[in-house]
Amino acid sequence: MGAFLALCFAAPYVLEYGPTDIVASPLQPPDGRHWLGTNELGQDLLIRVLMGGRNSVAVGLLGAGLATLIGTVLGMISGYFGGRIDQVLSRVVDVVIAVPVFPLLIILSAYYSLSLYALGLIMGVVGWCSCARIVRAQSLSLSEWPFVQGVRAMGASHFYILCRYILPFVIPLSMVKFIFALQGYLLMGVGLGFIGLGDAQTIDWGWILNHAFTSGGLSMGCWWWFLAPVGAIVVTSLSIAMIGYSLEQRQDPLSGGRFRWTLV
Amino acid sequence: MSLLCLSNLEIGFTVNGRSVTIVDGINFEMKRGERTTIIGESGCGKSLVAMALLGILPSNATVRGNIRFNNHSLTTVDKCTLRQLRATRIGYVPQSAGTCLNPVFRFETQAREVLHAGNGSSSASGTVARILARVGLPPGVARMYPHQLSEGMKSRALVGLGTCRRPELLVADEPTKGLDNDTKADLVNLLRRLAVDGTQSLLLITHDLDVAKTLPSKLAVMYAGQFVEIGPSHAILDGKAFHPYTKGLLRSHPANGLHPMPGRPPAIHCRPAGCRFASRCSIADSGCVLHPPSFRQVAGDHWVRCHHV
Amino acid sequence: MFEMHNVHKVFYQGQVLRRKRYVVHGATLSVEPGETLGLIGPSGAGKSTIGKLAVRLLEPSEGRLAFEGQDITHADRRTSRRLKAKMQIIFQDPQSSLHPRKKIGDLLREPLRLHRLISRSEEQEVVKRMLAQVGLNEEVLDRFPAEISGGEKQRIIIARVMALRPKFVVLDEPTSMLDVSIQANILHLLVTLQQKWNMGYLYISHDMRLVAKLCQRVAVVAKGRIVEQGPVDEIMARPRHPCTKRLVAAGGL
Repeated sequence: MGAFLALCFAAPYVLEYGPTDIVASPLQPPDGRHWLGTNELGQDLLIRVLMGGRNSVAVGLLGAGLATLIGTVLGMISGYFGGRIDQVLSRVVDVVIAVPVFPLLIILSAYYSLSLYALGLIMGVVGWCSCARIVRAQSLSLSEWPFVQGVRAMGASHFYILCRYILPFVIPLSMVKFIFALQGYLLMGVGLGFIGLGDAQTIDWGWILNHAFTSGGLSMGCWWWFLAPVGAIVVTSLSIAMIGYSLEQRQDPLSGGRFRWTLV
Repeated sequence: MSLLCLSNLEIGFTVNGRSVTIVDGINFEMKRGERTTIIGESGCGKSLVAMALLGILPSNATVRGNIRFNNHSLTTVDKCTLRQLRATRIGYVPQSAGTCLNPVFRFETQAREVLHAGNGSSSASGTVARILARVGLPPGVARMYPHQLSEGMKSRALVGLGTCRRPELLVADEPTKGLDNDTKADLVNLLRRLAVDGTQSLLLITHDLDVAKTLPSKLAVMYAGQFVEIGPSHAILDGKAFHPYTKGLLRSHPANGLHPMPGRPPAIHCRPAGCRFASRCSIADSGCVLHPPSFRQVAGDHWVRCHHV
Repeated sequence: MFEMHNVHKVFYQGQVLRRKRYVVHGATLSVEPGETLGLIGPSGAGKSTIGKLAVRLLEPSEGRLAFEGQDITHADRRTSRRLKAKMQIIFQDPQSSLHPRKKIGDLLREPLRLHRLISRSEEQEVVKRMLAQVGLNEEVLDRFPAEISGGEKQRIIIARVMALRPKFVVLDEPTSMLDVSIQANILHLLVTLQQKWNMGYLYISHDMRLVAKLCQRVAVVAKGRIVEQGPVDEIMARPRHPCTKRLVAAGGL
């Protein structure tokens, strides 16, 4: 999976032609020269898939990264300080968590033409809540432990405690959330592209699939138009999920995890 | 007639390919109806003895020697018989009552699990009420969840569960850990009452001298994996202790002056060849350091592991 | 030196009705330099809460706290920080009182760095002295808390606390999780250090015998109120409140 990702990112620098260049005769099935064949415009499909990979994964990364970051920070603050701050933030979470992300994206991209980054941004801004809740729970219980109270009594500032005492125990939870969010948002981005919304300028796997359908690929029997992007999506999505599960397992002390970040 | 007999018991662990012996040279006998207290500090291995008896040691533990319970050799018996024995003949009261009860089930659900174990005979909730009555808890406790009970109540409930099948031997592993003084006293009195009442024999494991004092019994003092003194508890605790460790332990009690004992027990992997207490002992000499002392009888039922006795 | 005057602590229960619950009601006590005031009571009486109020880990809902004559109930941030070095607390469970992912060496250096007491170059020397003071040797510096025993952990905690040369220390049942002989060692160490630096201790316990041995005066807490206070010999000989009588009786077990 790492190799695949690396390939996606390195592609434009390595390959001779870009995704939109028309390089060969159209509608060719995979052969020695063009490993995944070409589409009806003569664009090499392999390159399109690779470049598309960059964009799809980028959306996922941006969305998940932003969501995890916001969620972790707000969760820590909410759990550690408690009181009024916690009450206000919890109510905010209660409202935001009810917002359905995918339909929101559909509506917004139907009205405005959103760039890839805007998509990622919106995902991040709306999807931080579940991470925040988990982080809040952990921070809340941590702030009651004697070693945190002891260092407070010693005169440590709140910032110091949050960074050195709460954050190290919260990061493993956030990491797992990040990985699964990455998978989720990747698929969401692909889904948007597939139904024709999302950024028309940048290619991503959803768009490639969409293109394949709208250009009549089914009727023409160009199976390679579908196999490539679908294969890429499935492989990437599964690999991310596997990474997520193994991370989760590593942390869990009950299943013999090695990462003993948790306290019990 | 001997109910329980430990002969040359050795318990060790295999970690990363290396094996480490924690408890060794345990020779011990318990008759029917007897009460025994094993007293020792953390790390001496007393809980391991209880776990070996019940067969609940972790998988990387190695047990050498023999444990005979009635006519069964617990070290070699098959799993089925062991489970049967555990369900009906040997009762167990674990440490930390707080963490032993499943927080998502009511007490009566968990009690029924214990009652049905082994032979699956049906019991109505009437029996649960009887368990609670025996330990002095109100019948309403049956429908409560563990978090609604205080530590003392949980400990009592666990004692009730341990004794509900009228076992011949009740093993109580530090049942008073984490309790206040009055609750401790109540619990030990309860154990004493039940020992007379239905359970025949009691093996109590503790590090608390006060608890040992409350229960007159045969006292076995454990240090660094060995028994260093065995004798009647009233004699030892009232000043007729022979082993220097026992004496030091008694002197560090607040009622006896809170005198600290210098040094600390030897680490497991570098135990000395001679007497294990020599480095902290005020009467140790070169012989003590070189030669391990053997268990010697100093009175009718009083044994000490020391060269100078 | 340290005074607590009519301190109340209220916790609110419930989301809508916000019922008031007085966990500590009208606590008044004082500690002089070099003396140990015992705070005894059954569990749940509020002793630990009073201890935390004394070092201002919890803010009092009403009442006044004074340290060396100054009213510190509403001290500003800078004064608070200075005070925190002078008023410390040691908890019951050594296991959960140390950051499990930090090495002992870092844990010992932490209070020094927090208050910027000494320069980096002197740290090594000071840490060695801290260890010597509590009777540990240097090999523990590279270990993690999980790798040392309970008694050793409590010594490290004492070293950390004493590094700031506090004038007032709250000891919240510091030995109840330790074995009998280790308990004697730790208490002996605490008393030695107290005599050396003339510190005032607030010793919280539920065991009357320890209080009788270590304290000069004692305050008895029941249901959040201090019901009896006075010299320890007098309270032991002539307990008046029923709760005190029960505690004195239980002390003999």
